[in-house]
Amino acid sequence: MRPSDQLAEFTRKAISAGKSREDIRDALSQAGWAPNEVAGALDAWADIDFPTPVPRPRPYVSAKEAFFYGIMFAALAMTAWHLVDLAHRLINHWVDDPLSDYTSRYDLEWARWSIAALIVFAPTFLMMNRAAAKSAKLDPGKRRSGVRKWFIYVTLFFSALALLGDLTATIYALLNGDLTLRFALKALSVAVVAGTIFIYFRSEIREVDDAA
Amino acid sequence: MQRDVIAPTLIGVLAVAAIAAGLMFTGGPNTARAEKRDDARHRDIRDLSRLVSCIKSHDDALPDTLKSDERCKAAPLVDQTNRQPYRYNVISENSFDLCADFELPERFQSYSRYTRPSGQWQKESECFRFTLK
Repeated sequence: MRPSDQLAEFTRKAISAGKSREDIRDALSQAGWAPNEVAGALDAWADIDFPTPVPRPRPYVSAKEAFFYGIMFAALAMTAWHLVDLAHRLINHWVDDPLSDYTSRYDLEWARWSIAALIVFAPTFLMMNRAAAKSAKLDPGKRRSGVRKWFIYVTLFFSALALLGDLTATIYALLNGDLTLRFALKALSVAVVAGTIFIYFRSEIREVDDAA
Repeated sequence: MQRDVIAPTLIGVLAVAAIAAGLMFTGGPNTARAEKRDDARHRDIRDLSRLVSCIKSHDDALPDTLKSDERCKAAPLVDQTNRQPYRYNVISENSFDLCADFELPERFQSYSRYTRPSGQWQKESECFRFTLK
């Protein structure tokens, strides 16, 4: 039996035996369990008056949801990437920078690739996200999906990295004399896309944590 | 508007705006097809410049007209898309122009510095100028 299973089993038996939560907490602390482990073990059971311990809802993992959220977050990643990429090419085209006149005929081809990706992936993400939100409203238990939680944290991780990288690049450009209107607009486009995604999923994860 | 609607709506609006602006920038499918035809003409002109260069290396002079030569690798003398012959003008002892009916000549002006190894774009005549060493 794994230590976490032992802890869960002990907690269940102690509650069944009528021990108070304070007594259980003291016993586990004396045995060397960390406060967050003790709290996690006690929170697994509802603090209500009932002859046997009543389990709280726990996160679950489902292959079907792994498929669904895998596609949804891949669509989000493609949308964000190509949105920023296309914005940068448009900014290069429309905003002159006398010290950087780089243009390439491949800009047009890459821009077309980004347009094609946005036409496919942006509606895919929006429709799947809408379906997920609708499903969670009808069945709040869906918010406890472990897969969804992981994908949301991965999305938060990458959007936070993008924001930090964007800020670093902006400071570097300022120090290096490269902070032109063209650069500022590009940095802003990254901040808007990454920031929107970060703020949205940060509020989503709060709901997930509240539901778990 | 609810919070969970704002962000997806913003992403959707940004995507639609980017697609619209992107299509303005790149042009539609007809423009892209015209670019492909111009690229084919540009490739032909590059091959023709090699033919002219090859003939000069054998004869020590630029040819008077554009023609095939059995001593050199063949190159297309006619535009395959409109069946019009490519035009050739001798400019000096070592330089010559090759011209075609480009549909989007402004592209070559924009990207001229990147096509220099394959000839220098001449804005006025809309030809590529080659100078042999």
